[in-house]
Amino acid sequence: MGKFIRKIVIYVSVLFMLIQLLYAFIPYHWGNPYFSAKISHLEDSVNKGYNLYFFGSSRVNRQIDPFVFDSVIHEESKINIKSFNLGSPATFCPQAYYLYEQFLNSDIGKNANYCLIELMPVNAISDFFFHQEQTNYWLNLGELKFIIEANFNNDKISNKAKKKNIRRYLTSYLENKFHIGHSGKQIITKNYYDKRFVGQRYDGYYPMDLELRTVKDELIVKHLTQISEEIKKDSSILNNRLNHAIEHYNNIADDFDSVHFNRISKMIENANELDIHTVFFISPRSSSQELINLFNAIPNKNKIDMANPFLYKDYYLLKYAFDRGHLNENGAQLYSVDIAKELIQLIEKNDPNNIN
Amino acid sequence: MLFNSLDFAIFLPIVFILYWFVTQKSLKLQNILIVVASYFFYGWWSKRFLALILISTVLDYFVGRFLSNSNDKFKRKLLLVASLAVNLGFLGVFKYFNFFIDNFIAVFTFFGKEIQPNTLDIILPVGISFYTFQTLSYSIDIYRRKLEPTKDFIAFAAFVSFFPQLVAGPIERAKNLLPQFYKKREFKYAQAIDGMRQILWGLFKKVVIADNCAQYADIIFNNYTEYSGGYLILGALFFTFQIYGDFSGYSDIAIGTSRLFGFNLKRNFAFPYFSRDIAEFWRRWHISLSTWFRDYLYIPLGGSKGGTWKKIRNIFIIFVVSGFWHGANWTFIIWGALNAIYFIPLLLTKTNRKNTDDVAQGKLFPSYREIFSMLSTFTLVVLGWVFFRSNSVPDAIGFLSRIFSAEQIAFPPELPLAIFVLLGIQLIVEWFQRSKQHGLEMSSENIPSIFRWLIYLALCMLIMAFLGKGTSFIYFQF
Repeated sequence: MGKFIRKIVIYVSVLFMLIQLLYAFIPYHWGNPYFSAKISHLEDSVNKGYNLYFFGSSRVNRQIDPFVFDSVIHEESKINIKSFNLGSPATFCPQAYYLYEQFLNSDIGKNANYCLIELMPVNAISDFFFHQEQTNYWLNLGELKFIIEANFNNDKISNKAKKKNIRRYLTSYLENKFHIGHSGKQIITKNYYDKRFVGQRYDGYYPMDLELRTVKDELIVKHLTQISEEIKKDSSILNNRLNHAIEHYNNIADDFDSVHFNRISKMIENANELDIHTVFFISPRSSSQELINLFNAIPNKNKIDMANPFLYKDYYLLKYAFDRGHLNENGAQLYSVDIAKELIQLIEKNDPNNIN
Repeated sequence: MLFNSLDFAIFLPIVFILYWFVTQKSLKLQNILIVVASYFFYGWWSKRFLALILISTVLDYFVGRFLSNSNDKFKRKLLLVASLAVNLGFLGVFKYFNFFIDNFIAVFTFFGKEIQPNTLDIILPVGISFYTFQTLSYSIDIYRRKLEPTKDFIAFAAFVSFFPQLVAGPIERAKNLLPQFYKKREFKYAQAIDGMRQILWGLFKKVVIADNCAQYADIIFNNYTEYSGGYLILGALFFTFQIYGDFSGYSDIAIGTSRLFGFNLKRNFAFPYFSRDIAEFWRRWHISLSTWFRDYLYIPLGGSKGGTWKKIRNIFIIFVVSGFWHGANWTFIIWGALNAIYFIPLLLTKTNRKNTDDVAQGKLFPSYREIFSMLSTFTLVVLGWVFFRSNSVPDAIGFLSRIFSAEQIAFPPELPLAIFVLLGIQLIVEWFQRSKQHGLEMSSENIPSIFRWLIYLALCMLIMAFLGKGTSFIYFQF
């Protein structure tokens, strides 16, 4: 028995070390095929002069059009901006923060002057995303510590939900340590990096309408059609979101997640040291009371208010919606214009030196 | 709990340590641990269906006891009927209720009578077909006086719920497995190491082969009208290797896990895709189910004795019932009937036991004749799997018509080469191991330890690379 257990322990140790050695040489973003495709594109176009990057989920990838955004900035100000959308589907908090921090330390990040980051709540891993490579490849000890602390600090969720969250993140952490489920897709799939998400103009913008028009995979077509039809059939979906957003903005309080806030403060501080202006924003139709409270606590010069239903009610109109959570192409145009105008105001107020 | 999950990777060593270090002094304690671990294993998926296992266990335990104490024929028959009614009743309700209602309605609609459908929203309890057959065999064997009933309820509960084979077999007979719960188990190093190898090979077949083939098979079968004949052939081949990797992989993990605890389970697969005729295929595929049907259905019906029509009838019954056992869908029934059609000529020409040895025994490569036999048998099997996998009979027919229609023949422009490499590895390993119990059975003397370790490491790394989502095993649904 002793011999058997000894052998198993030695074997697992050798396997563990070998795996660590193999994975030590791969880039930080490899487990996110959409983000990787974008980074790969940026690496091939180092001298394109990008100096503003958007980070976040599909609500960034699908809704912010750098072409429109840059045009507005150039037409309405003398600010020197060339932007790239690094938003990627299913890239939630804190994965988005992890990617942002790693990006700043990379060669591509060296030219950045501005980074606009979508503010999201610390994600609870859903059944669908549990055990997926993209959910755990970035989950190091520091991120795990942040998640556990934020989770314990959040008195809005039940103890049962907290336990479930922590169990799932611990499992994901172990999966990452042993690289379980990592790189299989890369071996099997010829084009693992999903280049569609770099967008038609190679600026990282990939609207959902465009995907529906061009994608050939029946399952994706079915899914996109279904979610876009849903809001047409039930008008209360968008109205409810608007009413909730109004309610959140009417009840702003000092009650925010201090762990998350400290992380944001640290990110701002670190970026300042690199001469990068970090700006947080909440995507429309994705607010919650905790998120609005947290947003409210962020210094004014590091945020732009895009989810405010009193300022931007149009984002809740059916004609600008693709599905319950995302804007369509028309909505994205409107949103890109608005976000550019907000940024001009912010820069003119806080960074007058950056205006040519 | 899935064998290919992190949960099981944590569960197994804990149970192993408790089994060999905490409870090893008492057989009773070890058996209690197995029952508790097995119920925990099953309850991880659904706690409410544990009641079904418990009811089956209690019922068949007492039916067994009463059967042995009674000589009254009527009473004995009544007891057996009770066991059959409850066990098959569970199966009937959970697995077949909606199928019968749907077909009942279809028949009435055909004759112009509209009936309001009244189907139930039933979840199929995982593994119900496996453990009900296992407990049924216990009652039937006692009824036939081929087995003495156990007086040890804990041992019996452990036999019914033994976690390695609880949800997808092998379907064990009480005669083989139950006595192993009475004897003190000893840890044997060689047995445990071989068990680990078998687990490793099973995981490779499930995670690396089956799950990857499944991705393509699912896309092609679910959208078959979009694909050319070449792709459909590929889809059928992918499913052929998916179902083999999935099910034989599960059996390997189950057998290997049992060996870690000092148990020996029946072999369930014997490299069936190297079979030279369909009879040999059925002696090598899902052996525990085939022999169950042989012993409890085919032989009682008269087996191969009697006139030609009786033989044909018996073969049809056993294959159709076997198909129906797999699922409440006409696709499975047709799959069973198709196999009966394949089998009958062999039976009638008395050549069904022609190939009872391993192919190309003692030789490195098969002869041309053997290659032809293997390929033709394989083609028939693949054809059958199209019915097995299709969502409906019209889909299966549509799928096959597209393959065989001349205008649809087109070679797939893009092939997933990596899968072919992985399939090649599996086929080569299994060909060289075809006379062994499993793909990784090897003697320490013949292969230097450095090579053995390299093989283990390579397989482990492949398994870990593909593990991820923890997809469930196909046979859980049966």
